[in-house]
Amino acid sequence: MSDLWLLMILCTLGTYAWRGLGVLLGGRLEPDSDLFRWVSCVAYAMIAGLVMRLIVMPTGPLAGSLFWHRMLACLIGLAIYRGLRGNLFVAVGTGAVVLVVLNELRGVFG
Amino acid sequence: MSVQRAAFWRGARESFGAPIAVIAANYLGLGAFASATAVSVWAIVVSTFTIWALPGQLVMVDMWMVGAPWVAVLLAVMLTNVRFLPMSITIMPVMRDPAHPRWLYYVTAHFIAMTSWVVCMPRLQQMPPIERVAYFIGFSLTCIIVGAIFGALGFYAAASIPPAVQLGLIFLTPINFFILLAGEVRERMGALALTCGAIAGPLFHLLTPEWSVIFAGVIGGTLAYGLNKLIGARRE
Repeated sequence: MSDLWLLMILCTLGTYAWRGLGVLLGGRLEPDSDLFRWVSCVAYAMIAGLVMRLIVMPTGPLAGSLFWHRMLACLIGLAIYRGLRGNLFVAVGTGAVVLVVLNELRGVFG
Repeated sequence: MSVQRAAFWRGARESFGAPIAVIAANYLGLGAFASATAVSVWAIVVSTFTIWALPGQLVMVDMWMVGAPWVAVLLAVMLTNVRFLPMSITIMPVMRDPAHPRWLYYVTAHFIAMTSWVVCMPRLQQMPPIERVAYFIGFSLTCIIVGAIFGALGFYAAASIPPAVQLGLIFLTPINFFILLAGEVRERMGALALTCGAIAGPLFHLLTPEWSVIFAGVIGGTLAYGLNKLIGARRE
């Protein structure tokens, strides 16, 4: 067990390294500079890439559901979010329920 | 001081909502996953406070279980968490205030995560600079505490969560960020960055799963930045 704690310390330092390095590099950056805009683009692209990967090709239990079910659930959630002027709670909850129901129906009807 | 204290508690209060529900559900899932391994509940709770990056924690537990070499575990964890670098670089100038000592930014940096970054980047700019660090820490610390509590809950409740509900819980992460990002994007540059990243992410995952986060971010982000300049120049 003790080797997991040592490994955890290593992973903690490794993860903090990115955050700390960001302070060092971002310290003098001006929010309306071109460099700032480029790094923002990289940050948003990284997150969007990660999220889309989870939707398009997930691992674990999600891999057992259909791609178009996941996509439809996301789009319904987004439509509700837009329709309700930003009620994220209802939008996300409804989307998740849509996926679960679609997936269960597939189990029932083959 | 009292202004900052008020901002801290406002951040803590405003963190309650869909994002924190998603964090709770995610950590419920991580705890449930860990209960099926030889990892103790304390490893989940402590790593939530020290690492505070769910995909990284999952990778660490998973690879430790299969006995992967430490260098490989560390490299995998760092590669999944590389997103913190551009997040930290861009949120720091927003939180800057002459009244803060420099070390405070290094402490604040530890609290950066996907949820707090996505929610706070636009939110912070609506308040006076002096309040931003306190608000951000209040917001993030609440998320961490809730994450740790639900990680422990998931550890002990794993057996009683039905598979259909587990599916819904796991789906909360992608759908939450999908709606939050696609629903809140206002300007052309952000929309381009999200679109390019959304296409590049799965594409690079097919080519090289380990490096896909870096490639999707740097190549997708640079493409978006270039396109935005090009369109801007043509409009003038």
